Parts: sequence; C-alpha cells; structure tokens
Amino acid sequence: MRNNFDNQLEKLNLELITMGALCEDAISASVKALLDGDESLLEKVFAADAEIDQKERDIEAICMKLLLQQQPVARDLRVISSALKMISDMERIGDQASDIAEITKFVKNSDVKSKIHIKDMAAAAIKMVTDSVESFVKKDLDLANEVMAYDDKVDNLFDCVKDELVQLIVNDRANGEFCIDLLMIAKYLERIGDHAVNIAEWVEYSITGVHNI
Amino acid sequence: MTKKIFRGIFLSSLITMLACLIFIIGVQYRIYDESRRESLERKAYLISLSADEDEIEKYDGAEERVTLIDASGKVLYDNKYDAGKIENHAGREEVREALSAGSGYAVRRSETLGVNTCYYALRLEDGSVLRVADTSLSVSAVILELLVPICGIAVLIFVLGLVLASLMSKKILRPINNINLEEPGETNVYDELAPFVSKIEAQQRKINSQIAELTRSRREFDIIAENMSEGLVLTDLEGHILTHNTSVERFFGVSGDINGKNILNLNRSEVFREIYENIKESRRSDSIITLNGKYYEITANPVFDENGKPCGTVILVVDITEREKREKLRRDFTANVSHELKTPLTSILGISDMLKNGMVDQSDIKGFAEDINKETARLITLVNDIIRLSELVEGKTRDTEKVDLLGAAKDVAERISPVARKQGITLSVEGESAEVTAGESLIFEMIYNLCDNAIKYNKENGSVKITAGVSDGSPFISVKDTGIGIPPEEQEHIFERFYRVDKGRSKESGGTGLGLSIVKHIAVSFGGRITVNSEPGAGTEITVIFPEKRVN
Repeated sequence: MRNNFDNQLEKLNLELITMGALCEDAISASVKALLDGDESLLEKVFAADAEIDQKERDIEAICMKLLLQQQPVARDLRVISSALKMISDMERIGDQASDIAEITKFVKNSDVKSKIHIKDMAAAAIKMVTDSVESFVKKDLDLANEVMAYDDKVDNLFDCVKDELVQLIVNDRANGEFCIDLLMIAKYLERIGDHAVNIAEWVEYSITGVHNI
Repeated sequence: MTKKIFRGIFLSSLITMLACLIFIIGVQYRIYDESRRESLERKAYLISLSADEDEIEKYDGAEERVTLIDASGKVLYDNKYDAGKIENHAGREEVREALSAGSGYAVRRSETLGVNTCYYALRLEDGSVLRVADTSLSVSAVILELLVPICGIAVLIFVLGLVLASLMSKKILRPINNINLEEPGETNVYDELAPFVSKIEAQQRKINSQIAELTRSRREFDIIAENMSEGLVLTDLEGHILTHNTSVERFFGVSGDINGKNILNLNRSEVFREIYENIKESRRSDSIITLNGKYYEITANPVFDENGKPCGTVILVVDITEREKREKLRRDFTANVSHELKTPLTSILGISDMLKNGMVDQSDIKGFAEDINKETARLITLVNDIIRLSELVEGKTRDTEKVDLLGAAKDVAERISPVARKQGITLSVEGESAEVTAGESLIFEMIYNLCDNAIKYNKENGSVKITAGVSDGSPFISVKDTGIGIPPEEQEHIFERFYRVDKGRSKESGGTGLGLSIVKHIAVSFGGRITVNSEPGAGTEITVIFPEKRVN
C-alpha cells in the first residue's frame, strides 16, 4: 500500500511533468506564431503562461506541505528542494515564451531574411526545454548532461543572429526597429536555453546530490 | 502447540504430585497422632502402676513431663518444674476430663512451659490424676522438618517432569510437524487429523489448478497483447499504468519498467493531459496525436466492474499514418482533378461569353472555335484518362493473352512517328521478341504513354530508343530518350497522379499528369515493376520489367 508521503511525492512529480509540458507547449506555440504568423496561437501562449504561473504556486504549496508535514531526508529532500528551484526556472520559461508572443504581434508582417537563423535558434531552444523536461521525467542523467552541453550551440546561434541583424541594419536603416525586436526575441530564446540548463542541473542534483554551478 | 502440550503435561504432573504430597501428609499426620497418643497412654499406665509420691520421683530424668495432681487440682509433683509454683490444674482440659471420665487427652499450648504439648491424664485409684505430657515435636514441626527432603524431591520431580513433558510433547507433535504440506496425503498422521489432511489435499489441488488456469489466461492475454500492432495500455483510476505491450514502448519511445508509473510518463502533450483528466473522471476520449511524423489515434475507454463502478481505463493506440497518407492522397487527387477540369472549362466559358455578347469579330471566330475545340479535346483526354485509371485501379480490364513486347513497340512506333517527326525526333525500335501474358491493348497503351512522354519532354532533334528483350528470363521493355531528365528528388513522385516535374512546360505540351500513373498501374496489374534511370539534362530511361515467364 502506498502511504501518504509516497502519494504526495507522486503528485509533485506529476505536477512537475505537467508544468514542464506546459512550458514546452508555450515555447513551441510562440515560436510557431513567430515563424508562421499564426496569430491564433498567441492566445494559447498567454493561456499556457497563466496556467504555468498557477502551477508554480500549486507546486510550491505541495513542496511546503511535504517539507513541513513529512520532514523528508536524503534523496526525498533533494527531490523536493530541486523541485522548488526548478519551478522558478520553468516559470521564467513561460514568461519568456509569452514575451516572445507579445513581440510577435508587431513583427508578424515583416519580411525577414534572417528568420532562417532565428528558426534554428528557436528549434534549439525548444529541443533544450523538451530534453530537460524529458530528463526529469525519465530521471535520465545522460540526457541532462546533453542539455547542458547543448547550451553552447544556442549561445553560438545567438552571436550569429546578432551579427546578421547588425548587417541588416547597416544595409537598410528602415529595418532598424524590426531588427531590434528580433534581437530581443533572440535574447529571450538564449535565456530560455539557460533556464533549460538550470532545470537539467537541478535534475542532476536531485539524482546525484551534486550541484555544479 | 508444543508449548501448550508441554504446559498441559507439566502442570498436570505437578498438580498430581502436590495432591499426592498433601494426601500423604494428611494420612501420615493421623497415623503419627494416633501412635503418639498410644505411647503416652502406655507410659501413663506404666507410671500409674507405681504412682505414689515417693516412687514417682524416679521419673525425674524422664523425657516426658510427668505431673501428679490431686483431686482438687493442686499439683503435687512435676518432674520438670517446681511443683509449688504451679497454679491449680483443675481447669485444664485433660485433667477435667480425667476427673470425670477416668482419662483425658488434649493437645494444646502449655501455659506453664509455653510450648506445644500433648497431654494424657489418667485418674488414679486414690482420686489424684497422673498426667503425662510429651513436648516433643508436633505434627507441623514434623512436617517442617520433612520440608527439606520434600523440597528436594519436589525439585527433582519438577526437573524430571520438565524433561519428560518436553520430550513427550515433542514426540506427540513430531508426526504433525512432519506433514509434507505439498503432498499431505503421503505422510502418516493421527487418525484424528485425517479429515484435515484430506481437506488440505483437496484445497491444494484446487489452488494448483486455479493457478494454472490463471497463468494460462494471463499468458494468453500477454501473447495477444504482444502480437497486437496496436498499442495497448491499461490504467487504474489514478492513471497509473497497470500493463502495456511493446507496441506502446515503440510508439512513444519509452523503455524500462513503466508499469506503475503515470501515463504522463509515456507522453505529456496536451492530448495526453486531457486523456489523464478524462481517466480520473472515467470519461471516454478520442484523439489523434502526431509523434515523430507519425499519426496515432488514441482511444481511451473507461472500464466498469459488474456493479457499474469505474475501475480503470483501456487505452488503444493505433498507428494511422498510412490511413492519413491515403486520405491526403485522396484529398490531393480530388483537388487536382477539380483544378485540371476547371482550367479548360474556364477558358471555354470565357470564349463562349465573348461570342454570346457579340464581342468577337467575324474573322476571329475561327480562332476561338479552335481554342474551344482544343480545350474540349483536352477535357475529354483528361476525363478518359481518369476513367482509364479508375478502371485499372478496380482491375476491370484483366483479359489476358500472349503479347509480344517487340511487336507492340513496333505498332506504337508506327502510330506515334508522325508526332515525332513533327518535332524532329528520331524513333528507333530494337531488341528481340519477348512474350508476356497481358492485355494487348493495355501493353500498347503503356508503351504509347511512355513514348509520348519521351517525345514530349525531349530536346529538339533528340532521339527515342525503344528496346524490348528478355533479361535473366524476365521480359522487359525500355524507353530511353535524350530529353530534359528528372531530378533525383522528384523521381519517386513521378508516378503519382497529376504530379508534374515542370509545371509550366507540361501545360503547353498538353499533358494531363496522369500518363505515368496509368503506366504504373498497367505494369503493376501484370506483376511488373518499373525502374527509372534519369539524369537531368541528359535523358531518361524508363524500364518496365515483367515477371519471369512461368513454364507450363
């Protein structure tokens, strides 16, 4: 028979999976809205972001309850404390996805040459978020390490996009505003990558008990 | 049980022993009392024979206390005590008794000496009373003295009882302990236990057969589930996976033990989150998800027990990628047909509108009529092709005879040579006679379509070479041109309906986009296969290879 503690831990795990999945949905939808100009997706992003915020509070409550009532030790304590850290990263990912959606409203009609690299960057960021959540779900240490290594790729892509945008502004000053918007989106994507790395690090910590900063 | 039996034996032996002891002591007490009284009586009698005041003093050193009391109760003599100091004895029980009845006996505490004493009093002839008292041990003192040996014996018996009882209880229980529970009938046990043993045996058989039955049905279920191409997941009401088959693991790319985990561990997309909510509410859900470019239809059905209470959910995952692809093909086909039909009709409508409104000069009417004619002809070709194709797909035209590929190729060349000549293309037929069993008109149509394409998509002054023959026992026909060629990435699509490599050019050449599709269907309907060998800019060679001719 499962006892109360196990049930609560499982509920925590489930809520974290759901929150991670919501983050994946939010970032995928906002990137799709950006690249395909599908405005109906924007609403979905904002809805997902609101739900992510709600989930953060729910999970926080579950963690507090577990800490107070069960006084967990060792691995259980690590899982709970890393959950507390993870949700703030997930919440940031949700916020940034909705920030991207916000900017997308203004850039949707512009013709962009550099959308190619933004696309790669978005794909890389989505992959990182998906993999970090996946590594949590499967408690897969190798996958978590992969996510950490993958961050370099996103960083390089960010530099690449930045150079492209500078070139675009140099060529045509009329593109200026639009390019700045794109730069912000690129920055958000880069930040999302960092948050995914954070999540992966907390996954590693909850499994091994070692946290590398 | 051993303990209980041991305790029973031990306690009963202990109680028996104690009872014996008490009984013996009781009997002993009476005998002892009796004999002591008798000896006192005897002594008193002996003393009385010589009892006067002078004689009696001989008893000074005697063991017993001898007292002489006169009739008034005054003590005349006492061998243990100074007679003068002793109080009047008339009130003493034994003395009173002796005075009245001649003799008296009493056991009491002596007030003079202060010890437990037995008294015997005898009235002498002169009326005085002779009393003999024995201050030696009383019964309880005797027993007290006996206590040490009795205790020793008791301890001995206690230890003996302990050992014997434990041995005994073990011996009694040994057969019961030795019962082989797997085969209870084989061991000899007490008759009293026989009904239990046979009952146990019967139950054992029943349990074994039930276990076997359960294992068998479980294995049956497993085999069926494992061999299903569909994914099957059973969950409880909280969405924990109870069982699943390998198809599920393949579909969702999960490995390891996922039984007991939540279904969100399989997939956490919105679709599954919804299914999870529905499972908790015991609602049905139907959905389709895309995963790694494949389509899966997921049906989650709640399961109810005989009381109508929900007890879990059955989730069936079906790979519907093929179905979706066919569906898409069908949709594309309909869209293409409509489009192809619409184009000529639109120009016909436009021209006829102009004619109706008298907007056309008399001199131009002929030109427009030609246009209408051309477009209508194209429509008819198109409709004919579509009809041909659907006939082929349905397999209506399966009359077979022996057809010579070389002969058919020559017929085609003859028929098509005017068209070729018009474009300055040289047409050649070579090879050897190769017989296939097929429909002659269909083979003709197939080669005609291939040649038609070869001429249409050729360069100016190019050439078309038709080769028929037998290679490795398989008859083949190939049509090689020196035309524009097909890019490698397009080659797999050219047999699809309405697919065109170069959309602009085929319009002007008047193709319907169905030619190669018809070729493919004809070839396939006679068991043949088609290979394409093409290089953009250099030319294309399409070969149809028929199956080896069966020797009758």
